[in-house]
Amino acid sequence: MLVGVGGQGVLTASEIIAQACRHEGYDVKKSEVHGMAQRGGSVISHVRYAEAGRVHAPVPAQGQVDILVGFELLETLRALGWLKVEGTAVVNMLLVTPPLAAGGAVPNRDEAVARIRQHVQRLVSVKGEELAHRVGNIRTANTTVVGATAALMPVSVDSWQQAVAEVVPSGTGQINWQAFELGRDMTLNREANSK
Amino acid sequence: MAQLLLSGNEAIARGACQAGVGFAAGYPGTPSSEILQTLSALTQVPIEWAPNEKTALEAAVGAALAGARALATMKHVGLNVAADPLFTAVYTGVEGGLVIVTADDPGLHSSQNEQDNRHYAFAAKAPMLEPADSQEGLEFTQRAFELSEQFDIPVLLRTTTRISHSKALVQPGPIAPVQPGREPPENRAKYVMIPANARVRHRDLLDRLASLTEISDSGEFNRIEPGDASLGIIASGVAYQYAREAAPQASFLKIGMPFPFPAELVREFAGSVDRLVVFEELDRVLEAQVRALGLDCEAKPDEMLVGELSPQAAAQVIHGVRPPEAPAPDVPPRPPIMCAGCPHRPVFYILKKLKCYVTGDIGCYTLSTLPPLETLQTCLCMGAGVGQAHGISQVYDGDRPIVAVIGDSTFIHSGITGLVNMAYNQSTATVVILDNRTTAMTGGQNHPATGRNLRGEPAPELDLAALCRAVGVKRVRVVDSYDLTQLEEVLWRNVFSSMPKHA
Repeated sequence: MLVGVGGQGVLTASEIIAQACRHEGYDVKKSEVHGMAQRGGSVISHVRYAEAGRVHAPVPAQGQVDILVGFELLETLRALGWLKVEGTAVVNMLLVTPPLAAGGAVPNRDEAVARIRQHVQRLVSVKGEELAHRVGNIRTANTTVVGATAALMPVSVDSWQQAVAEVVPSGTGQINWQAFELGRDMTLNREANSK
Repeated sequence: MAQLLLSGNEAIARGACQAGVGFAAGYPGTPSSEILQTLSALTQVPIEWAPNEKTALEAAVGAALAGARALATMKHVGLNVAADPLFTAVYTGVEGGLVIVTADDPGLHSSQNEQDNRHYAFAAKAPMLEPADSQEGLEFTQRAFELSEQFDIPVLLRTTTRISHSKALVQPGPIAPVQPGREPPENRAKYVMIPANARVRHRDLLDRLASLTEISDSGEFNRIEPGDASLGIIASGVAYQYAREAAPQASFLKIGMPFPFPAELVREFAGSVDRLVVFEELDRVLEAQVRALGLDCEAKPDEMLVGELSPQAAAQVIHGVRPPEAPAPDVPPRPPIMCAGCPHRPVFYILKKLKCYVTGDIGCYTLSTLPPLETLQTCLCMGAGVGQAHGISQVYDGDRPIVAVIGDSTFIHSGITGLVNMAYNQSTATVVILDNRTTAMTGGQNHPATGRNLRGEPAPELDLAALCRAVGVKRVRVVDSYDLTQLEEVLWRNVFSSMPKHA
């Protein structure tokens, strides 16, 4: 399950993940809701993949999500109820204040992260904007988060490479692949260190 | 051919091309808008944004009369607008196949109601196909054109948001050659619906539906999937997918053609299972039909008449497991807002300042009802704000100016007749056309006043101010909403001046 704020590239990210699953030979379904998302509202997308014939519903049941990918902290908090108890949250460490929220009601970044940690057994944190800045294009932040998520999925590098190439805007394939690798390697290194 | 990952809407467009579609028209509306946009990239035949759903369907009826296969697309409430031609087009029938896509929006992701358009099939006596995933979206669209020609009748294809906007793997087939148009027939008994002819055609319609019932009972669209005989589930659309996950071992009667209703198949299925459950989204359409056959069944509780179903709702209805009440997360809401720099913002700022009572309708400007603007007082249907403002001003003579706001695309859709009414009946209300030169809410589609057609090619441009003058509006002012001083001056001078007290 992918959640974020309109404009963050959540639907592009879920498209990369779904296409990679297709290239890997899985049956895959993806759900997204258009409409109001463009205007800075909450955006939700689901990707479900399995062996052929096993994916029926395009959305999971609440409390049954294996990987929650949060592109923004408040949206991650909002979606925590969807995650399995033993599930993993991949969370971009960015907080976007809702434009209409009263000051006191919005937790700050540390509070938000603390609340997420309380609820999540396995947390992979990503500094997507920082990594994207490192590859030289802030608009690849969503791809770094996809890379971090990829490290947790049984999908080959070839499939990811094809998916990134076909989904991102033409001419940005290379820089997006760099962003993807940065996010993925960061997660893999951390996983290796924690073992 | 390799499998593609397609949304329901993309699959429908693909299916139309595989059927050799020769004409398509629609009006943008979530969740239907992508069908024509996808189609325009797949084929060179005329694909058009129409001013509204009624004109779209009438044009499609015309193209089908001239022998082409024609498609009309719209959201659920769009079919309300197009209902007039629909209810009689089933009498006349078609020459080329005619398929009408209606995309429902359970859960109101981006709509003003959650009407269940399966009722239209029963009410209009129009056969309806209902795909449950993208593959069926493609196949059913292709077959809908064939059925339309075979049974001489327009066919409704009904999706919901979860079908239109979910992507799944699809096996595409070859694109068929376009069936060219030809001289339309002179067959007045069939196409001129005066009472004497229509009476005959109504009887003929019943005969055609009787033949279609055989298709409905045949197992092509309504399919028995045998499983454990202790539990039988009747379901359609995305609800079928949820039920499949909740009860993988059960027997299923998957409904892909709710009308004409497959009574024989339902009787057969009901007789083959110990326990019968109907699981459907929105209204109790299938359940009512099952019960009308004298069959007993279980179904969802009333609380599930509202909103979307889900895998956990399926588990609840089928197995009686209530999902644990998840506490609402204590996170500030993030509602959509008008974009930074939106030209509508200054208008509402001034209208609020002038204490206007503002009626409106459907578009980005509906967001002005939310904080911080909180200006819009009504939103009923496309164009309604104009009619409402007139009605209010005819009976209210207090101090607040009555102002209708309406977007450029919505004005063309159904505001023009309201304005004619105001001019004719000498209304004292004011109409503000919020002209941002696009159909913004649905993703920025062209319309008759943008000077571009669906493909983005140059097109004749409707002059909104000239149109307003032409229908008899005495004072028409054009103002740049980014010029706040000028905007306030124009609004202040005009919203009061027609009111009896200020005249």
